[in-house]
Amino acid sequence: MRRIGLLSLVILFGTITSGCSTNGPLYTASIDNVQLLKEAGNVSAKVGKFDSIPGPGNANPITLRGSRMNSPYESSYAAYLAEAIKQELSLAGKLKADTDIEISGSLLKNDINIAGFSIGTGDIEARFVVKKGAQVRYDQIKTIHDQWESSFAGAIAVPRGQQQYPNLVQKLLATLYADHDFLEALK
Amino acid sequence: MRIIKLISMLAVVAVITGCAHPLVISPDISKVERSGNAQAIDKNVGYYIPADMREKLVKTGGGGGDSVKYTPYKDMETALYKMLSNVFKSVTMLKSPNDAEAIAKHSINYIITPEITTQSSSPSAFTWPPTKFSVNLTCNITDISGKVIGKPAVTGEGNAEFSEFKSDYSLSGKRATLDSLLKMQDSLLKMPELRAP
Repeated sequence: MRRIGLLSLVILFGTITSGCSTNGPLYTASIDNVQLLKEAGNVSAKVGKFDSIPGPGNANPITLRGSRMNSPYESSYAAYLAEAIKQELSLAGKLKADTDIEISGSLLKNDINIAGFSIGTGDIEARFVVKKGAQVRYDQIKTIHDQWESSFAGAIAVPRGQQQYPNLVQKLLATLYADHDFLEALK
Repeated sequence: MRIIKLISMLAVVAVITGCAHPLVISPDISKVERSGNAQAIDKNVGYYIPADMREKLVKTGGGGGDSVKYTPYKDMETALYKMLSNVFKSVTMLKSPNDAEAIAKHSINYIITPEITTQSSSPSAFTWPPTKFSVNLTCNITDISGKVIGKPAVTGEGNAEFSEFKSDYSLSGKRATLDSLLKMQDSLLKMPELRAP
């Protein structure tokens, strides 16, 4: 009976967790964000360097119940953020290589928590800087916190946690594009 | 001893219960490109996806008696937007099928309402990700008066074997959505009625 119990414990542990390393999902632009940029008028920018400031809550890779999720872009979540902005500017027709207006920034917080059996949470905080030549026209920190239904079973909770990452980035960027000062800085 | 029995029961239930595994079938939009020699259509389009369809959760088959669940309209929307941007001069998301403000503001010529259905399966008894996936994509195209201009329909297919999908469980679905969008792009570019003055 003890052997069966031990085996059950092992199976249960395997059900709740899964100890592997995978790439997170590619970013998928939000059409709402694209339309916000499109309707912002005569704005354009190129995307410069985004770096990541090490600190508590700024995970890379992100750990999801023992499973490690790497960024699919250069294994860097700062590069993920840069790619997300590029995609949305590009779909809106506002990404210009020859402009002197550049968006750059730093990732300050970045984590997903699915340790709970019913709720998963995600947090991202980033500094966004817009420069025209050497002149800083915008320098603000944006934060997003979100939560979703999670599960006891790792086979459900882990992929759901992974799938939430692009949604978190979409929501973070929605707060950026909703900032009138940011859009003015791109003109 | 009771605890061991309880844990045993929990483990057995957790293992044998067939579950619906969440997937995202969004294709890599960098692969949604127009072929170099094709000419874009000089018209503005709006597309409309009802809010309930965007959030509609679909369950289809996987392997080992399990199923997979995903939101096909939401997952495909960005790539659909990119495909339509490759085909037409401009694309606008409409909030309703008669979004008069957006239709006037963006000088929209045609309104496209997509319809998506999907199937998936796997012959595997031990792994749940689908190895075969298909996506039926139809674009209902009208002018702004509601007159039907066309209703092109395509089927995209995606296959993935275990050695490929172990790092991406959605791979067959992503391949099927990409295939359907590229086929639809080709169909739209070949419709002379869309180029009529």
